[in-house]
Amino acid sequence: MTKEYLSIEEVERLALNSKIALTDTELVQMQAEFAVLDARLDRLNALGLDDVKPTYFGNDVKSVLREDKPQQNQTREELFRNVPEQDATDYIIVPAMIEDEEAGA
Amino acid sequence: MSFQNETILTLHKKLVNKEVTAVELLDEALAYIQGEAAKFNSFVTLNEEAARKQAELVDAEGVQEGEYLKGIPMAIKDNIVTKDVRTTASSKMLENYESPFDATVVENLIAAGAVIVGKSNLDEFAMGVSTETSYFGASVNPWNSEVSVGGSSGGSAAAVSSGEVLYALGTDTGGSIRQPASFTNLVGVKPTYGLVSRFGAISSVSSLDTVGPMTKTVEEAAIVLQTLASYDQRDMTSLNVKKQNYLENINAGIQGLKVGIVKELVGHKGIASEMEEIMENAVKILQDAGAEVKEISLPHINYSTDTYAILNRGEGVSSLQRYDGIRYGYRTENYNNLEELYVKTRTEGFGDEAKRRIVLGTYITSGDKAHYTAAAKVRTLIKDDFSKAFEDVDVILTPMTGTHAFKLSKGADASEIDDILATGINLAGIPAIAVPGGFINDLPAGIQFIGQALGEEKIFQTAKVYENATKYYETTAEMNGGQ
Repeated sequence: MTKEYLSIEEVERLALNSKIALTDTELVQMQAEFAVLDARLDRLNALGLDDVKPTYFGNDVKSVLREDKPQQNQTREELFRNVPEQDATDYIIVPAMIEDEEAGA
Repeated sequence: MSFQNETILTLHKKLVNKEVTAVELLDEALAYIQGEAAKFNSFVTLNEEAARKQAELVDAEGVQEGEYLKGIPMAIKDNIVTKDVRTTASSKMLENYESPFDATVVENLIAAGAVIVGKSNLDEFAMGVSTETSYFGASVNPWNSEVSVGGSSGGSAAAVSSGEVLYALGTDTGGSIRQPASFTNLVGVKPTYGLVSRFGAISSVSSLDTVGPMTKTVEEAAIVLQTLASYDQRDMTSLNVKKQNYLENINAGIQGLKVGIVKELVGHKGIASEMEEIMENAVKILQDAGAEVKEISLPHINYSTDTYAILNRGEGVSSLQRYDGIRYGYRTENYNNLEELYVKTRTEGFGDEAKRRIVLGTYITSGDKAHYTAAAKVRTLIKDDFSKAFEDVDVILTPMTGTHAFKLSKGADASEIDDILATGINLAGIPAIAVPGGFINDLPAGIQFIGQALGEEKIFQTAKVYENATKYYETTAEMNGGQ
């Protein structure tokens, strides 16, 4: 069974959950896309999948831990090369995460 | 000057015989790329300084016979990270990103003496089929500027097909090497999942992503693939298998080889009648060379599109979640709090197609995950279909695309038939090689040979027989009225 269309509010909530703001026009366009996705699900489910095992990985390689020994990778300088905002002591600058009730954000 | 009439092997010979130097080849490449070939928009960034150093080093050392890639100009798709030059994934999000390390495939190429001329254009984060979603504009098909060059490795296709470089790396998650190869008369290989390290390839759909070569001929593709392939502890899906020399037996022929034709694709409405003729001709060529061609069944192949679309969005959202404006990449200029920083950074930094896939992927991976689970189950069925087929045949032959390249501006999703022909192979984790199949309305269209996991050698041998009989690579865009 195809689910009912997601409401515009639900689409907006999904977008904001993924930290994306959509315009009103984009929200309407996206709403139709979910119906397409649901139709895909219906077609797949029609195959009768109850007894089928899912494949989640590209191959069957089992991850193993490598030997725990120190090695030189990137330097601190290299790792900071792409930081958008930093201070002189190599801290990444981000906005305050806890709001101060009296002073505001 | 364009390298359209040269191959890695012809230039290798000239380098060995000291008829030309690596620096001269680089200069020729750069002059053409920045001059006449600039209109193809194949490159996002050139790598002139590091390339020159490498070429000078090659000339100082000299090139020995068999060091095929040493001194040869090439391009890296710009979603594969390089230390010497920025890596953008053709996104505003990574416009100024400079990787602190090289991808494993880049390390392997540099060790082989490759001269990396630049980073080639792609659809943003490899999400698209025409390079039209690139932040840096679409690349142009050298065969005809009104049709798409294909994607997402379209910049690589344009760069090789126009003769700007001899070969290029692409990534193939659901046809992104093979479809642009088909649209530009090139050979493109999607290797067995795990054969080539993904370390340093910016993830798009992690369980499907592969890195592979795009070249003009089959032998060149074999040379590049055997250089790329290596076991890599930094990629947890890397296969620990013995390094192969695909060139050694590439002319072994196909006497007694069993080749399968997929019943479900014969007469498919998306396949043009001219492509059916190309297929009939291919069957005849293989039979004449001693192969036995028989019909096989892949009962769930037509479900590849639905399966792929769901897994693509589901895993894709996870790949793009890391771009938050904190540690690297684009950060919005004006924000009052952390939430605003995240939302504005991602809304401004991603293009429309990436945003579309993120929102769809969030839906797929939240709640009961019914879509994702169903798609993962049908992936099993598709994979099992291929395994069963390979009990009867050694290689499977299909068209690579339903017809030639489509007109520009068709949107970021492939036509259904092109998805069916391409994505099933990624879902099954097996290798396939796209080779020039001929011409439809004067535009190239490819066919593909599909092999069992780690069956690269056989598909190279089969493709070589077909190439020897057809020699379509000898027709260049220039000769065919292209630009």
